[in-house]
Amino acid sequence: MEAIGAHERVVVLRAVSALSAVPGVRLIGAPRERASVVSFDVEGVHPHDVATVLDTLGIAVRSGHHCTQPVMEHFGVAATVRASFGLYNSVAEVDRLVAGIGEVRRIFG
Amino acid sequence: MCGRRGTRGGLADGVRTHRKRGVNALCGDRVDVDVRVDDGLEEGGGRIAEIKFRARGCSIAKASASIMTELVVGRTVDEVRGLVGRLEVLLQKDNVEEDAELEMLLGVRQFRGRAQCATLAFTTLRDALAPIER
Repeated sequence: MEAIGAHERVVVLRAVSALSAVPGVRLIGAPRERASVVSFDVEGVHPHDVATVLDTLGIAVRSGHHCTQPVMEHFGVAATVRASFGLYNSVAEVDRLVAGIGEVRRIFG
Repeated sequence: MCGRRGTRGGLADGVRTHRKRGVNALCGDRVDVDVRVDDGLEEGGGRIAEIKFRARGCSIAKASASIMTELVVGRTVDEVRGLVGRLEVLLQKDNVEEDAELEMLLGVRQFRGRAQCATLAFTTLRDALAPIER
């Protein structure tokens, strides 16, 4: 289990670092201790639209309230994109996610 | 607000404005619809004289709201109800039926999870017209 946790930390920290560097992407929440989950939004693009484009690229994320409407209100957002990473995910897939967001921005301008 | 007007002028009598807000509870998409119905002596519940919307949400919700305004101006209330019902049926799972009038909206079929985004404006309009007797 420790090995799984260590792997997930590597992947999610890569995601946090990589997504933070993408223009127009804003991470939602800055926890002191992070689970292997990253919520974000893309400026000017609704999370549903982000998720649909990523879906066409074979990248599965969730979008919407995530059944956490009070949290959405706290952060002042209607919805977010959420990427969750498990033991079966890799750093290479994080890079694919970042590239996919580039495609989102290309489509929606 | 964005909108379409079918007729200009006319009398204030016999023209009623109906308002409704529709919200997709799953994602927060929100559409506000203002619709004016000329209910003079028309059968079918009256005729849509003017419609405006304000949409907050995804591109599909916004686009379908715009398409909705183009489709309904000049139709009777009963015709609008039929149109909305037809769209809901067309977007049901596994339905591959074609429809020339609603063709622009059927592309959402490739994204089944987005069907409610496409129907939100239409169902909101139907709810706004609900007080009008059939």
